[in-house]
Amino acid sequence: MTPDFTMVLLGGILFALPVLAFVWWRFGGADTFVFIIVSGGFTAIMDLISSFVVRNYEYPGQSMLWVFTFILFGWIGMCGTCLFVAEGILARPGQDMLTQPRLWWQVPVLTGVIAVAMDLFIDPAVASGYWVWFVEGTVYYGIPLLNFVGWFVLMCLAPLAWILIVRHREWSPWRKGLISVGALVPLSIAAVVLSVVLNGVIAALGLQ
Amino acid sequence: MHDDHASKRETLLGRRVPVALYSVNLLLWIITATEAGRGDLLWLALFAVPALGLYLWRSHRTVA
Repeated sequence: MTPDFTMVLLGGILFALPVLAFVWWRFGGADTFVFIIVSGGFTAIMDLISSFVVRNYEYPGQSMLWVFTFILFGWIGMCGTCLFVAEGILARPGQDMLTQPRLWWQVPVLTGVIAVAMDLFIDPAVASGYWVWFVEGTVYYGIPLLNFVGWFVLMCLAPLAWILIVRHREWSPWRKGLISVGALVPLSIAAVVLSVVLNGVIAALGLQ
Repeated sequence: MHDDHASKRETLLGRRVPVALYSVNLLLWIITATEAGRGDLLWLALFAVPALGLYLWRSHRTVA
């Protein structure tokens, strides 16, 4: 069956909307804006930058605008769903990821694990139709392990940045917004360093 | 303003919406995989189920 890229993009956008509505209901407008910047924005920008450096995969025939929009909204939806499930697993009654000690890092780590578990299904089952890998994986259905490293790193760092910013309830919306945009630089550096280290460990084990 | 985020988590809406969103997300990918002709790999969706089960178990304990 021919992949329907328009429907997939539309589905990604439409799914992100209730996720953002839920973030807005729980935390308010400013924290929702921060979530958009550090989840979807961060990932879409990282993908855009990395596409100029090394192309590990592509969405066949799709423009840069399509890819940017799909990743922006797709990761908002994916990050939000995994984040709130992780919070629900770890948070004690009367607490949440902003108030309970140690959840500021535990929830992001579990979010990364849950997202990778979901991608163990998504990538093998969907990649052949909608995106094409240029790197041949040798361990798991031909999907390179660097893909799962990328999912874990981004799905861990994005919620981490969001929690660290929005837990400052006294900060003004403007301050949160500016800091979230400014956080993209250290976030990108951290993502590159973490990915290089984890991919290096995998390569040292002779895996791909 | 919105400092009741922790208490909102324990309302019916706060507990049910994450389950609904996660389930719909998984269902959308199952549909996409089916349309991509990879029905043989749908069983891999089982990897995504334990997180949902853990969430439901923890939520149940919280409510109880």
